[in-house]
Amino acid sequence: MTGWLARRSVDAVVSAAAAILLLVALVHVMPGDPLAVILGDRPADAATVARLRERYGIDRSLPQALGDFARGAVRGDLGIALSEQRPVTTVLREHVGPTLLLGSLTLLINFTVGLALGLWWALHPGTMRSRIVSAATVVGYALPTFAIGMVLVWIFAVELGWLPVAGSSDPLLPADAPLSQAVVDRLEHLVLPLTTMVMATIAVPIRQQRSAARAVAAQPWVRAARARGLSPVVVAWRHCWRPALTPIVTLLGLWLPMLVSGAVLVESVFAWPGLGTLLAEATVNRDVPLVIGAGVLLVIAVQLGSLLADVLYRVVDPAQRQP
Amino acid sequence: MIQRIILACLLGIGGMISSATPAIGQSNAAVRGTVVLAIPADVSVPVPVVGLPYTHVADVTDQLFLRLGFLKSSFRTVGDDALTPMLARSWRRVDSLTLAFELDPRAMWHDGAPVTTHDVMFTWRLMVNPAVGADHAVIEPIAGIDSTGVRTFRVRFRRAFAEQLYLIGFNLQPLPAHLLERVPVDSITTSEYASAPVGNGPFRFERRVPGEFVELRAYPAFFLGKPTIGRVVFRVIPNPATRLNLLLSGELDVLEYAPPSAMAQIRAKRDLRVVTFMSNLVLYGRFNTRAPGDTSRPHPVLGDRAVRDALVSALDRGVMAERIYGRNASVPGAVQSVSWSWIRPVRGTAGATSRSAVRAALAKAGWRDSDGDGILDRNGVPLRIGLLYPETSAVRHDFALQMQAMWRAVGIDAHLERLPGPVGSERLNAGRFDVEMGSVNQDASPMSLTQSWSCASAREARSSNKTRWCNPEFDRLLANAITGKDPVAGYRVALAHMARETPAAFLAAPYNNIALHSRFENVQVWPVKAWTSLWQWRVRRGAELPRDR
Amino acid sequence: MTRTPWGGAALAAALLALAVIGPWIAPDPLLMEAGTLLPPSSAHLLGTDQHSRDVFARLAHGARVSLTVAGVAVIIALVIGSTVGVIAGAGGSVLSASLRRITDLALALPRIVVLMVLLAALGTLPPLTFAMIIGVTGWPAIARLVRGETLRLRQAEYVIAARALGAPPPRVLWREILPGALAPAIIAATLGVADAILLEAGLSFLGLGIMAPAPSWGGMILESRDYLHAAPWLLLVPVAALVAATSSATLLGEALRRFLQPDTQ
Repeated sequence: MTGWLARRSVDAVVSAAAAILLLVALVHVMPGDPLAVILGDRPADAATVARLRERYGIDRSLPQALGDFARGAVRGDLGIALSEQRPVTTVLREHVGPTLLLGSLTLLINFTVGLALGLWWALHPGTMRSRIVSAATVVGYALPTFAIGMVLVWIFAVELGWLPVAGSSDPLLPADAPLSQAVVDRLEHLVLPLTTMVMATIAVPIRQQRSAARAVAAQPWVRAARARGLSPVVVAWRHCWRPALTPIVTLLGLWLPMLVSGAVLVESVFAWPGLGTLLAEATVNRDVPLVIGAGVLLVIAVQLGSLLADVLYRVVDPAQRQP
Repeated sequence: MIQRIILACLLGIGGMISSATPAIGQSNAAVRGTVVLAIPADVSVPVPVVGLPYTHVADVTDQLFLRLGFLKSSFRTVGDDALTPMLARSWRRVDSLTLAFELDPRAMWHDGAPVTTHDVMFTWRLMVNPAVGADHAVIEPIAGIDSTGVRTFRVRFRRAFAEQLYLIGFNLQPLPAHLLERVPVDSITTSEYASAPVGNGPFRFERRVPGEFVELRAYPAFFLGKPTIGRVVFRVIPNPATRLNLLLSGELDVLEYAPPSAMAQIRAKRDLRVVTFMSNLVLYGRFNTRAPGDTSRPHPVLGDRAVRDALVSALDRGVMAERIYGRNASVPGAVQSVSWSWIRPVRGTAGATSRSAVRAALAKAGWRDSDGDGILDRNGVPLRIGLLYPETSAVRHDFALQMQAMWRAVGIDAHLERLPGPVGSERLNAGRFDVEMGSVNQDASPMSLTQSWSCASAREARSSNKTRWCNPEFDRLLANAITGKDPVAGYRVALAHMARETPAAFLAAPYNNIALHSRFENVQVWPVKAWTSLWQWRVRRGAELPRDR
Repeated sequence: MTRTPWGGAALAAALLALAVIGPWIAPDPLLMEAGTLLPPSSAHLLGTDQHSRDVFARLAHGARVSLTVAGVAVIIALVIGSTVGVIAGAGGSVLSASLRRITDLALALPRIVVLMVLLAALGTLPPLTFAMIIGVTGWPAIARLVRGETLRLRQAEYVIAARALGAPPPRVLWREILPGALAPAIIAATLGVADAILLEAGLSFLGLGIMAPAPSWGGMILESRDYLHAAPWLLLVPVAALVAATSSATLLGEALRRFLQPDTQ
C-alpha cells in the first residue's frame, strides 16, 4: 500500500506540474493587451509603456516566462496581479475562503442527503414518490445553474424580501458584531447560493447511489437476508451501504471539477466573493498572473481530489488492492 | 431638450447654494446616516495617482482625498474662477504662465498631520514618474511646481491657456508625503498604506472586505464642515441586474444610470425616487480611417466620406436612443456629452433618411446589389462592416444590435465583434477593425479632445485615437479654442466642424438617472466625479432606517 | 417515467421539429419592429424582447444553433475520445503510453478553466467554431472511459480466444474490442449532449458564448437578466427549452444504457 501510495503521489505531482506548465503556456500565447487593465482608456507614452511592461513581466518569451514562473513558484511567489496591483498569493488567499465554504457545504449536503435519497429510492422502486424523485433528478440535472439562481433571487430576495440578494455577508453589520450575529448573517447569505449549488448537482449522487444500491440488492446474499425476514431498512444498512460506496468514491474524485464549474457560475450570480468570480474576471481582463495563480490552485485541488478518491477506493474495496 | 439642460443646471446650482451652508446644529453628536452604493469591481488600492485609472476607483478615492478645488455647478472649465476652493484656500495669477496657490491651513491628514506644500511636491514627483503611468494630458502642459513656503507653491505652465487652473486644480490630489516618502514607487500598491490609506477628505478609510465592499466613516474634524452622512459603503457588484435587484430589495441606496426598462418597478417602490443629473457619458460608433491591418492605406469602405454620411443617415438615432435610454438622452452631432453643455450643444439629426435615398447615395459611391443577395457590393466585394466593442458593455451591445438591424434594411451587412476588453483593445491599437463602438466618460474639459481626435494622437501607437482620425482643420480650430481668447465659442466651432466631417455615428448623450432611497435630502450628483458632494447629503429627520443609527 | 424511452424520445422529437421546422414558420428573429417587451399574444406567441424581436422566432432559431452546437461538439469529443481511448488501452506501444499520459494531463486541467481561457482569448465565436472548441475540450473524459473499457475487454474470453486464433492485434482492436468499448462511450456522449447545452448556456452567461446576433438559448437567458422584472417570459421561455433538451438527452442516454448494458441495472 505505501509503495503504491508513493507511486500514485509522484504521479499526481507530475500531472499537476505538467498541467500547470501547460496552462502557463496556454495563457502566454493568448492574444490581448494586458496593459489595457492598468492604463484603462488613458493614453501613455513609450517610456511609461516600457516601464510597466518591465514591471509586470509582459514582454518575455515563452521559455523565459516558464522559467520565471517556475523559479517564483518555488519561492511561493506567483507574481503581481495586474487588476489588483498586489501579489497573486495575497489575492488568492483573500478569495479562497468563501469558495471553500460554499463548496464544502455543497459536498456535505450532496453526500448525506443525496446518498440517503438515492438509497431510499433504490428500496422503494415503482412507488409514486420514487417517480417524483426520479423526475426531480432529471429536471434538476437539466436546469442551468445560473437560471436556478436567478429565479431564486427573484422570488425569495426581491419579491418576498426574506433573504439577501447577493454577497457573502452584510456590509452593514459592524466588524465587531458578536459572533452569533455574524454566523446568522453568514447563514442567511448562504441559503440561496447553497440551494442553487445543491439543486444543480445533487441529481448525480442520488442516481449513482440508487443504481449502485440496486445492483447490490440483486446480489444473492441480500436476497437471502431479505428472505430471512429482515426489514428492507436493516438490509440496506447492513448489506447495501458499504459495497455501494465504491462508485460514490469514484464520484468524489470527479467531484471537484464539477464544483469548480458550478462555483464560477453561482458566484457570478450571487456576487459571491470567491475564486470563481475572481477567475472569471481575471480571464476577461487578461490578468495573466492571476489566471495562472487561480489555475494552479484548481489543478492542485483536482489532483488532491483524485488522489484522495483513489486512496478511499482501496480502503472501501479491498479487491482493488491487487497491483 | 434645452429646457432639460436648463433644469439640470438649475438643479446643480440649487445643490451648490444649499451646500454653501453646511450642516449645522449637531456638532458634537456622532454623525448618523448611511449610504450604500455599488461599484462594478473591487478597489484593492484605494489611493489616487497609483491606483487604477477607473471611475469606480475614483468613486472611492474621491471621498478620501481632496482636490485643490472643484468645478462650479455649470461644470465650465474655463477661467481662473472655474473652481471653488477645496484643499487650496486661494490662488492668484502671477503671469500668463504661472499660478500661485495657498493651501488651506485647516487641512489635515486623518492621522492629524497638516497638509503642506511638501505633500504637493511629493505627489507631483510621483505623477511624472513613468512607473506610475499617470495621465499624460495632465502632466504635459505643466513645466513644473516650485515650493514657495510651507503652504504655498507656484505651478508653471509651458504655454498660456484659459484652463490652467482647472488642469492643475481639478487633477491634483495630494498624497501624504510623510507616510509614503520612504516607500519605493513600485511597492506603494503592495504597501501597508495602500491597504488602509490615510487621506484628507470628508471620509476616512474604515475597512475593506475583499470582493465584497469598502467601508468609509465620516471624519468629524473635516475642515470644510462636519459631514452629514456618517458611513458610506461601496458594495462590489459586477452585474447590473444584481445591482438593480439590490436596489429593489432595499439593500442598495443609490443606483446610477437606472435602466428605462426598470423604471416601472422603481417607481412602484414608495421609498425610491428617481432624480436626473448631468452626465459626461457619450456613445458613438467611430469609423476607422485606415485599412484594417494596413494603416498606411485609407479604409477601403469607410475612407469614403459619402459612404460614412450614408451609413449615419441610415440610422434612426432618435429611435435607438429612446429604445435604450427612454427619453433621457439626446442625439449629439459631435462627441459632446451633457456635461459639456456650457458649450452650446451641436445637435445631430434624430430621424433616418428614407431607405431609397440612402441606397441612392450608396449607389453613387459604387455600392449596388448586383448579385441580388440583399447585400450591396462593389467589384464583387460585399459591403461588410464589423462593429467592435467589449463583451462587458451591455449598452454598446444594445446599440450595435440596433445599428446592425437598421443597416441591414438598406443592404449593409454589419457583424458584431463582441470581444473581451484586452483582446478588443489589442485589435483597436493595431487598427484591425471597421467601427469602434465607443462609450466615453468625457473629461470635464474639451482639451482632452487632443488625446483622441488630433493628428498627433493619430500617429501615436497607444493613444485613444484608435481610428487614426486626422483632420488638420479640426486640429487648428481646437488649438485656437484652447489658447484663444474665447474658448467657449472656439470649442463650439471645432465641434461643429467635427460634426460636418462625419468621423463617427454619434449615438447618444444620456442624462444620469439616479434611482435612490427617498430618505436622502440635499442630494447632488456630479458628472465626471459623481459623489463629490456625498458628505453633504442628509437623511430626512424621522425617515431614518435602522442602518442610519 | 424512466422505464421507457418514449418520454425522452418524444421530447427530443418535438425539439428537433422546433429546430427544423420552427425557423420556417417563425418570423425573422432579427426584425426589430414589433415594439419592445410585449407580453405573449396571438401576433407574438411568446412575446417580444427588449429589441422588439419575436421571442418564438429566436427560440426556434436558437434551437437550431444550440442543438447543432451540442451535436457537433459531442461527435467531435466522441471521435477523438474513443480513438485515443482505444489506442491508449491497447497498451504495449510508446504511442499508447503517451496517449494515456496526455489524457491524464488533459483531465488535470478543469475544463471550464481551459474553456474560459480559450474563449477569453478568441472572443465570441460563430456557432460552429464554438462547437469545435467545446468538442475538443470534451474528449478526455470519454477517452478515459473507453480506455478503461478497453483494458477490461482485453481480458474478456472472446477477445483472448480471438487472439489465440492468431488474429493480428490491430484487427482484434478494431473488430473485437472497439464495438464493446464504444457502448459506454456512446451512452456518455448522449449524456454529454446535455452537458454541452448547459456549458454553452453557462459560457454565454459569462459573456463568453456564441457571437450575436445568432440566437442561442444561453445568450437569450443572458440577455433576459436585466428584464426579469419587466418581462419574465424572456427568461422562462429559453430555460424551459433548455430543460426540455437536457432532460430528453438524459432520458435517452439512460434508455440507451438499459438497452446496451442491461446488466448494470
